[in-house]
Amino acid sequence: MVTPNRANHRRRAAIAGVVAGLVAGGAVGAALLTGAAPPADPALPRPTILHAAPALVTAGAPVELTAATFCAEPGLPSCAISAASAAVRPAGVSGWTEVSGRPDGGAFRFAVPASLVPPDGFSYRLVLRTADGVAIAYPPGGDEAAIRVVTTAGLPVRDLGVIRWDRRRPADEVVLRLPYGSGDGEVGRWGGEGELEAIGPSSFDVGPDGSIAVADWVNRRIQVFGAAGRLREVIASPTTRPVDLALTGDGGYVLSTLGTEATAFEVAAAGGVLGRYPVGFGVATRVAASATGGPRVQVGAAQWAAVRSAPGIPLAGDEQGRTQTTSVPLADGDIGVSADIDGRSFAAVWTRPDGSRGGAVVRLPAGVAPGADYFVHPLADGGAVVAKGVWDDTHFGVIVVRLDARGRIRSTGLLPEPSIEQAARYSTVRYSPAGDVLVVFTEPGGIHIDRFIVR
Amino acid sequence: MIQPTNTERKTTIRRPIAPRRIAAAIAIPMLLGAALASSPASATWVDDNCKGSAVELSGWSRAYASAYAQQAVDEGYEWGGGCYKLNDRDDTPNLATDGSGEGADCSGFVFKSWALHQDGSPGYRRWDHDKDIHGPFSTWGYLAPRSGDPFKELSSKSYGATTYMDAFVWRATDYGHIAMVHAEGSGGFDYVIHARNNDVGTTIDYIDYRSLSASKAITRKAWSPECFPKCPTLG
Repeated sequence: MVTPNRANHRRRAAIAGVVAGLVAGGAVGAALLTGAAPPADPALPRPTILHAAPALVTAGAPVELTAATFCAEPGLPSCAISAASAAVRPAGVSGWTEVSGRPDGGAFRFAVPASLVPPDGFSYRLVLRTADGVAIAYPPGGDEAAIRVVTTAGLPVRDLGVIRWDRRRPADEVVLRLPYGSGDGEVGRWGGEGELEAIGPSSFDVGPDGSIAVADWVNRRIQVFGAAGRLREVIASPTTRPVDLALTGDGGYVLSTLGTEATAFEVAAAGGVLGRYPVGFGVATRVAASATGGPRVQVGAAQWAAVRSAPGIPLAGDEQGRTQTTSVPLADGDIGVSADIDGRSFAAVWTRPDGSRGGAVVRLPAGVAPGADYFVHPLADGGAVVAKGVWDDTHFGVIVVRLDARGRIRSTGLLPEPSIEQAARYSTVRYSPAGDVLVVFTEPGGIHIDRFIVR
Repeated sequence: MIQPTNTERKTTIRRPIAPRRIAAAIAIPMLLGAALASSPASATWVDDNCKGSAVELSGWSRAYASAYAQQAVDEGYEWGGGCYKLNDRDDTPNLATDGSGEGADCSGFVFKSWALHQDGSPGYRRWDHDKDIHGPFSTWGYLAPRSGDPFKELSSKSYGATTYMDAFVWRATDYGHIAMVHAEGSGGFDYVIHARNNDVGTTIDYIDYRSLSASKAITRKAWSPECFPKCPTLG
């Protein structure tokens, strides 16, 4: 039985609830209208946004963007995504157009219409709102952090020709062979039996003098070998986790752990740790040294973010977002980038010595899909060397394409599948300053790094 | 025919206890328990922390599987294991990889995330994260599904052929690995969710397992529709 007092109490409570709901709803509504988000409770888990950016697209064709999230407690309102949108700005236009995200397959898909993809490309950023009303931008950092997409307008289209999986190019030379172990000149290997995935040295890079640095993470060290293959020095690794590694112009090293909540490191040539920098967003997949020496971390396909302002001074996440670029300029300012176009071809673009853009769209044979974007290296003659993964259901190879200044294919070569035991996947294939391609392979009892001369 | 190694048989494939062994299964632990009662230090982390159970369900969607798997990220890794204490850290970072510590291995993580039955029969069984169970399938099992298995190989590894929470499995000479697709990427890469190893635990990574020449795409049979359990009734 409900007494009058209880009924009054319930009525008052109901009215108070409605009023509170209207106030709260109005606040949320106002926040949605103005773009201002309610303050996020730092104690609650929040989604990490996972997004692979398209670096190159076809002008005048629709583009589909996708974004997924990861969150520790997916059932909580602070983790659940209630709405998603992309703000898109075509080049030369001042205003942003909102494109709603459609939930599909555990992710959100954003259909950017062809009208927003002019020949000069477009910029975009993503905003995902949680069920408790918090807006999460990707990349962080506001309009300045918008991801820039360029198009293939004006690039010639070339056919790669037939791929013969049974005709791989043999290496021209083994430049380094390292047995497994923990002694000098040996490298560690984790797992490798039963259900234990093997992870050997997690990365390598090659210096201007031909020296090779190997991230021997199992033995917590970096080993540096001279051009003749002799061990030159051993440097303590600043982390116990598998890392990607790159050499800097002054003989130092930049490293980054891989995956979510990554940390980048800057290590002096003599081995001292100059800085540790938390990576503020995305999923770290590789690291490069910027022309100024600091690390830039790839946090998603075609998204490279600086992580420090000066040695030892980290950038906050939104500051990192504002620095992200499609590629990392080389020491001379040149850039090169490649990307899938439609699942059947890839495009490569680069800067020529006169500052103009070179490039080509390369069509793959039927049934072959574009794989990893290892590198696009501009050359002094205006052309470039491109190393790109290619694959089908049962094969994988590395196609090395020599393109001239007009984007014509001068030579191609299919290299064997690199080691599957190196954690930094993109760094299994490296451009050597000598003009060659270096690839790491696994063999019983160790690894070897082979040289392939680009003809 | 592909056969698992002896090591795998011993350490990662746990099969249901036959009825005739039940008496021994009860009696031996009782005797051991009595003998060890005076030495509590012998209890393992699993003994102390893995009290979970399981419940039979009428369905299991990819969304449920994804939510289940995400909760295990940042937890530990245990070869042949299956028990998670959900606190966003590896509770046994210094134990050997088969030292009765926290976490599943790659194949056990797929077994639990896909809500499979311990005997491999069809249906849906949600295992508590703190239930120490690996399931009967190693990477060998996922690599070569039999007709009666609750999963199957997909006809292609292309992006169009797979959906999130499908898996890529592969074997090298001496080892194998399996990882589930958390979200599709590009260029042969995906955001995968997997029990990786004892150093990094259970993680999300952006990796090219899809394009490895040795990998195969595997999916659970009979995923429930995404609207489960509130799907509209037809007719």
